[in-house]
Amino acid sequence: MAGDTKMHKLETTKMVNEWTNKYYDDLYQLRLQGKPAAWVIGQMPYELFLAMDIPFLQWENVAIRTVNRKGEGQFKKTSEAYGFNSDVCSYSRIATGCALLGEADPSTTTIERPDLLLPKPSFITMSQPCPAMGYWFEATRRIFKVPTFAIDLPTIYRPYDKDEVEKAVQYVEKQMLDYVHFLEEMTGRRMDWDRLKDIMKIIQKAATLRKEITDLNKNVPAPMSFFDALITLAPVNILRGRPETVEYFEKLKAEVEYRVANKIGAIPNERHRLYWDHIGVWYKVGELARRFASYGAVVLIGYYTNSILYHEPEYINPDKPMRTIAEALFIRMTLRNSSMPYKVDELVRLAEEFKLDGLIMHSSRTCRPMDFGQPDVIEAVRQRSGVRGLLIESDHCDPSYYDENSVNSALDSFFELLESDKKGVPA
Amino acid sequence: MQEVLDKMFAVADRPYDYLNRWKSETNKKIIGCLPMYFPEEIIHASGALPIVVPEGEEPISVGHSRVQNYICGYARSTLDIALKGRLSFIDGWVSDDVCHSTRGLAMLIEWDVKPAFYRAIYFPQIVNVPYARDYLTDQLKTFKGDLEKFTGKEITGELLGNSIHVYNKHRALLRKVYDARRSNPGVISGRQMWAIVSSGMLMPKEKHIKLLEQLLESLKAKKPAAAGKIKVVLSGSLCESAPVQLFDLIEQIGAVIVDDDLYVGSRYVGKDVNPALEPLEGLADRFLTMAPPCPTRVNGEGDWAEYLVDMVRRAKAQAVISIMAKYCEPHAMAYPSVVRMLKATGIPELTLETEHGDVPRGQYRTRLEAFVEMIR
Repeated sequence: MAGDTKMHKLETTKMVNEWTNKYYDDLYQLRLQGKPAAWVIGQMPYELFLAMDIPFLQWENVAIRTVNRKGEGQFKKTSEAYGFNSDVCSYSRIATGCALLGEADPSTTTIERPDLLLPKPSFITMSQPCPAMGYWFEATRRIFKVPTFAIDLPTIYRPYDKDEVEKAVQYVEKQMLDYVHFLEEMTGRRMDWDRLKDIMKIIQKAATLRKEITDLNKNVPAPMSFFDALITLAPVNILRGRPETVEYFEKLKAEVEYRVANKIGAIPNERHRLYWDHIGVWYKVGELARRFASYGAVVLIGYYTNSILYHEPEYINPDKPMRTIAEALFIRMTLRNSSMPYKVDELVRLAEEFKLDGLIMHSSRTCRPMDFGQPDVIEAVRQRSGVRGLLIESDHCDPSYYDENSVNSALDSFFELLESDKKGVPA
Repeated sequence: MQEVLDKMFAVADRPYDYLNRWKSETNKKIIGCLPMYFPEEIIHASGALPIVVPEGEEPISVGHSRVQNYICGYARSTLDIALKGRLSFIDGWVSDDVCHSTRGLAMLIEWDVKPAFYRAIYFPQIVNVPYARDYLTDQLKTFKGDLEKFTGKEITGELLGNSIHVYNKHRALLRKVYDARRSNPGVISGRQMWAIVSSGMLMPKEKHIKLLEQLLESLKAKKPAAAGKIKVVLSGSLCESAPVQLFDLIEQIGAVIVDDDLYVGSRYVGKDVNPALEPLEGLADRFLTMAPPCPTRVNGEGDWAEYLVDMVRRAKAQAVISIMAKYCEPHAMAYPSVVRMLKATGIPELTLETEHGDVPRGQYRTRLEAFVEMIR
């Protein structure tokens, strides 16, 4: 391994950091005032909360924030002491620990990170793109006894079967209206459908810009890395629907277009173009970005940053918010996860469109649903497109499962192989 | 009684021999159902033999090249033995998406094993959704059509109704066996109960019904078996086949198993299909309102912890032994609430973690002995 770890940071990232910090400050203020917020497990249509002024926290996002602020230690210990063993999803362990400590009596329990505690629940709501969120919800509702609403998301086993997909979308769409009625019950307010339509238009505009920005990564050198995208998901996640998100994507697009016009890459010395599978390693984003850069490797596309969260603007119709949420947000997010033919086809296509040299298949110790099939995907993509893949094992949110030596030596060998490929030397 | 049990053990202990022989004798198709709760009645009505694919017995080798080793043992093992060709008697594979492990396993069966017939179907996880029943009934209708194409035989409403009748009869008989054990603990050992249910998951139900009838007849004559022993209820062990050596151990140290909610156990029995409903709707209804409550489901009727307490009280048991398969996330997530409920109601509980492979007998024996001592 050698070389410069310099990377070109995006200016617009600062905007996202500011907004996210404010979002969490507001939540913390609610806690100090003894007021509740809606608890979200899994992915939810936050646009509905925005339309109805419902404060909310999303527990996976909280877990990510916690681990980035190195606050997960006591949270993990607390949930493990409660009985959740260390094999279960690390998001849920950190989140449940935080939730439990949020209720603890500070006179009898020393709380190491009171700054990371959050409001109690007004209600708990969940959807399960992964079924573990269902189990997590079940555990949580047994501890915190408040009203709940859960949205059932079908697994799509045959994403090429239009009938199967359409039935799933309609099944979810029906539930969405019930969900709005639930929110009306919880708040004592009626849904403002005009306001929601405006929000959906913002989401549509933002999603369109985001897709255009993604496509700009087809250029060589790639102007924006997966690591940049990972830390700026908030505008399409917890902050989505807000007017400033359009401003953000417009500025980001301008920044990225400038780079394309001037052949400025996310890293100065681009040699290897990569895809990242599964969730990122949240506590190693910067470090991995630098390590990859030192090999001249840029990760420029990934499932988590490009295949979820309204990633297909053509499915967004502001006149039909319930259908849009069911289809564009929910079903289109998971439909590649349970079909090997679809996954492989998708990666072969991306390899060509984005001129990829390799796949990084991140296998997460405690996020098993997306771990299945990774060795086979590597083999199949290699056969069909010649692109190599590397399986690296760690965990998306639990640093205790990260083996530095193992990951680093795997990356080292992989980049050596890619270099040999470039030189035409048999590996 | 021993004669009937011998027949059941022959199937349960050597399932591949039995199924290969059955297939060559009948020339019929075998459809392997991934655990748990697949509505076998539809397959039965098609004339094929539905089986619950039993967990493999051998160490995992080839499977580890396809699947990471922190996936549950059932998934790793099943893929492993399928790749090794042990399950070549299975013509088609079906799955009802019971958890993310079987979801991933089903996907890999399609890709790596390439069976002639493969259907993985989404069965609603959030079972109280008002539209879940219609959605699932429709999914089952589609499945029925696919199965008809594969078997070349129409599955009429009448055939389905008949299959439901057969399965309800089978379940009624299994419940009687459980009643017999509950009222006379020790009359059936843990290992024997495993063989009874396990053979029932593999044999044609009509044949197994006959064996159960004979078994029940022979149980009538039995004398009280286990006076003075500590009575335990076994809980957990979802998709995997709980290691029978563990049951032997429990009995060796002086306890007796009086009831269970294991999958290869009373969980396989579950509720009957409501015969008043249209067949496919009845099957959907049975799934959505399942009992015992399942930790893979959300917003199900009833609470697993409460169900377990009721089970302990009904059987006049003194303790619960939880059998927790390593890497089984649904069980691990539900576990804290179950343990808390048992503690709150004063029921002693011991958790034994199991993995695919050998039972750590020494370690378990020590823990079991200490546990039983504490209860005495």
